[in-house]
Amino acid sequence: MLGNEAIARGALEGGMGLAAAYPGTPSSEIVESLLKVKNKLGIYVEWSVNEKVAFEVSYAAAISGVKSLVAMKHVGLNVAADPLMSSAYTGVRESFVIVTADDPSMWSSQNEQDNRLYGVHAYIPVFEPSDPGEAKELCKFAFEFSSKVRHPVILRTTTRLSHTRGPVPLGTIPRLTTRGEFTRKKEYVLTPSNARKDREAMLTRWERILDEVNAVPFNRIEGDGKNLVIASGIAYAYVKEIIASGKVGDGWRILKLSTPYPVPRKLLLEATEGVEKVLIVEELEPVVEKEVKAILYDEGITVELHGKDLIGLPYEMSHERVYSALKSFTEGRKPRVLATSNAKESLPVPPRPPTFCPGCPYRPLFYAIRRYLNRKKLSYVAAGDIGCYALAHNPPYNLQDVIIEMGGSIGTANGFVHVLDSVILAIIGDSTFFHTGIPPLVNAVWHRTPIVVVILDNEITAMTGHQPSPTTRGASATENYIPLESVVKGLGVNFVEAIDPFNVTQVENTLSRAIEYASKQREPAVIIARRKCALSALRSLRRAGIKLPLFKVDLSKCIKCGTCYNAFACPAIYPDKEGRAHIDPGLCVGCGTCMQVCPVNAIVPVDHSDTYKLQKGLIEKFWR
Amino acid sequence: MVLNIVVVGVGGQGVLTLSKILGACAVEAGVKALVAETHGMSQRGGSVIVHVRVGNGVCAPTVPLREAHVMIALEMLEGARYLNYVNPEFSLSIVNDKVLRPPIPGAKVPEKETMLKAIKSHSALTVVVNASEEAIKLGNPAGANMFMLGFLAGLLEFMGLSMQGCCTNRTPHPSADLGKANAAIFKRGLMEASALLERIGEGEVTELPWLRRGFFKT
Repeated sequence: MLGNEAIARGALEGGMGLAAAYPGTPSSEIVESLLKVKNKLGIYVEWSVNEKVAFEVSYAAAISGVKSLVAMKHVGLNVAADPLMSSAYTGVRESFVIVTADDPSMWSSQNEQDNRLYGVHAYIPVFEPSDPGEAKELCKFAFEFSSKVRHPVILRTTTRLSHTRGPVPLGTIPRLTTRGEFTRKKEYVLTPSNARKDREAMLTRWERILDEVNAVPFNRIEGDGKNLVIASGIAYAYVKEIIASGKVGDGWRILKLSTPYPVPRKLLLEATEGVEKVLIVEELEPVVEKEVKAILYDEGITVELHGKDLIGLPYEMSHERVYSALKSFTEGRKPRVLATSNAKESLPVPPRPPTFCPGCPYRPLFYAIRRYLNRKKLSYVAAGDIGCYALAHNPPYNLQDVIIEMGGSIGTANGFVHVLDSVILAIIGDSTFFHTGIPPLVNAVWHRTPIVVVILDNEITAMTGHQPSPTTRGASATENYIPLESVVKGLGVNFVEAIDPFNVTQVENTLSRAIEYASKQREPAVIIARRKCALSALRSLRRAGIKLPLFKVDLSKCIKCGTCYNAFACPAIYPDKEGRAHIDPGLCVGCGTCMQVCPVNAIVPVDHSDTYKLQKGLIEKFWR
Repeated sequence: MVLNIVVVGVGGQGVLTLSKILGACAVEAGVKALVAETHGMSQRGGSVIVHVRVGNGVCAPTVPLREAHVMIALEMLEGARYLNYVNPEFSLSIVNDKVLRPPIPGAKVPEKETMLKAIKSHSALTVVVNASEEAIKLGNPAGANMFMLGFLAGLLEFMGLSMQGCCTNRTPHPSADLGKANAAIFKRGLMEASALLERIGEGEVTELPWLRRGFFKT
C-alpha cells in the first residue's frame, strides 16, 4: 500500500466521517483513495476549490462533532494558515486531523518548507510517521489523540513516505458517521473578547498535550549505549538501518520520535540519562534539535549535542548523509556529506526534464505565443503559475518568467504593469484560476489594469493526477460545471474570447487582438484556451476502442529545418543523423497539430483515405 | 538480506507499473518490500527512477548509492544517467536496447556504444535486451516493462522468492487482447532470464555473489 493510501486507511480506522482536500503532489492520493470508498462507507469526501476552503469544510465538521480530515501539500497550508491559527484557539469537538505532505528535495514544489514549524507557530501537536505501515497506525492514533484533547492535530508526511509502497497490516473500520450536532458557544466566535478567553483555554489544553505526548506509544527508546541518536519521522528508518548494518559500531541508544513537536519531555530525559553525546537526525529544519536544546537547558543538563552541523539542512534524508553524520559523530570530525540534492552523473548525458505529453493542447498554444512574440519582437513579461504549463519555462517555449505560487501569475501581473513598459501576460490554468486567480483578476478589473490573461482550460487538475475541477463537465451528478466565461464576464472583463489551442493561427490572431485591446482600452483582456488534457482525451478514446490516426514525415519533402522537433518539440518527433524528422509510432497520439507547424507540409497522415477524415471527425468529440 | 533494485526509464514507459507489481508480489511471497516511486514527472516524459528494496531487513525506502544489485533500464540514456547507483563489484545492469531523445532543442544524445561502454564499466555484468522490440512483436508496443518484469521474476524465482501469478493477475488490462500480449511478453522476459542463469560463469558472464539460490532465506 502506498504511504498516502495507508494514511487514508488509518483515517477510516480512526472513525473519520468527512474529508476535504485540494490536490497537490505529494498529498493527492490520500483523498483520491477516500473518494473511491465514499459511497460504500457513506462518508462525505470532496475536492475543494482550494486548501483554505478544504480546511474550513473539514474544521466545521470537527466542531460539529464529526471526525474529519483535511489534506494538502505543504505550501497548501500557507493558503489555509488563517483558519489553521484560529482552529487552535477554538479547539474542536471531535477529531480534526490536518495532513500536510511536505516535499524535502522539492521533487514537485516551489520550496521545501518544514510544516512542523506550523505546529510551533499555532500550538498544534505534530505527528510524523517513519514508514507506510506506521503511517496508517499513527493516523488512526492521531484521530484518537485529537478527540481526547479536543484539539487539532497535524500529521506530517513527506514525499518519500507518501510515495513509498510497503506492507500495511489492516485493522477494522468502525461504523462511520457524517451526522453531527452544532452547539452555539462563544468559543467559536473569535471577537477580541472571546479570543482572549480562547487563548487562555488553548494554553491550558497545551499543558495537557505536553503531558500526553509522553504516553504516545510511537515514541520509544531502543537499544542502549553512551551515544544517543534522536530520530524523527523517516530519518528513523535510515538511522535504524545503518546502525543495524554494524557499519558504525555498537553502543547506540535511539530515541525514536513520532511527535517532533512537542518533544516528549519525560521520555527525552529518560533517553539522555547516562549518555555522553547526543545526535539529532531530522529532515529540513532543526525543529526537534531546538526543542531538545531548550529542554536540556531548562533541566540544567549539559551534554555534547549535534544535529544540523553534522546532518545538514536542505534536502531529503539519505543513507549517505546519515552514515556520514554517525561516522563524524563518533570520530569527532567534520562530515563528508552534508546534503545531496541529486548525486552526480557518471557520464555527461543531456537532461530529461518532464515535458508536455504528445497531444497536449499546451504545446501548440505555447508554440504559437512564442512565435507571435518573436515575430513582433515585443518586449514582454510572461507571469506564470503552478501546473503542467510551468513546463513552458523550459526551452523552446521559455514562456514562464516568474512562477511564485498558486494564483501568482495574475497577482504579479497587477504589479509589473505599473512599473514596466512591456506587454504583461499572465498564464494560469483552470483549476489554479479558481484556486486563487479570481481575486487578482477582480483587482485588475477594478484598477483598469492593462494585462492579458491566458486561462488554460483543459477541464481538469492535470498535473496532480486528473482530479476534477469546476471546469470538468459531467464529472458527477453532484458537481456543477462552471464555464470560465461566465465567471470572467461576471467579474467585469469586457474582452473574453475562447479559442482552440490546437489552432495555431487562431491563437496568434486572438493574442494580437487581446494585446491591442488591453493597451488601447486600459483594461484586462482574457483569453480562454480550451481543449481537454490529452491524457483524459486518450483515456476515453481507448475506452471507446477507437484506433488513433498516425502521422508520418514525407522524407522527400522534409527540409531538415527542425521546426517540429526543436521549436514545436513534440516528444514523438525525432531527427535522424541528417536532421530529417521522423515520427515514433509508439509515441504519436494522432493529434495532428504538427501538420500545422511544418513549413513545407511534409507531415501527412499515414492513412490518406476518407476513413482518416471520418476517424478524425469521430475523434474530435473526445478532445472537446 | 536485502536486494536493492533501481528501475529507471522515461515517464510513460511503465516504470511505476513494473515496480508496483514487483513489490506486491514480493510482499505476497512473504518478504518485506519497499517501493519508492517518483510521481508527477511520470507520464510527462521526464526521467524516472523507482527504488525497489526486497528483504525483511529493509527499513529505509531508497537504495544507497553504489549499492544496487540490479539496475533495470527501460531506456539506455536513463541507464547511463543513474550509474551512481550501480557498483562494478556486483551490479547486474539489464538494459533495454532503446534510446529516446529528450525533446529539447539541440539535445545531443551520446552514441549507443558510448553509453553501453559506460554502463558496462560501472557494472559487474551488463545484459542488453530487446524488450521494446519483443513487446512490439508480441502485440503491445508499450509492453517493454512486462518483459523486464518477466526478467526480474525469473531472477527472483531462482533466488527463492515465489513469483507465481506475478504477471497474469496484475497487469493493467488482464481481460483484453493486451492482457494476452502482456502475458506473452512477460514469458519472453522470463525465458531470457533463464537463459542468462544458464550462462552464468561462462566467459564474460561473471558470477555475481548475490545471485544464488536461497538468497532470501538468509
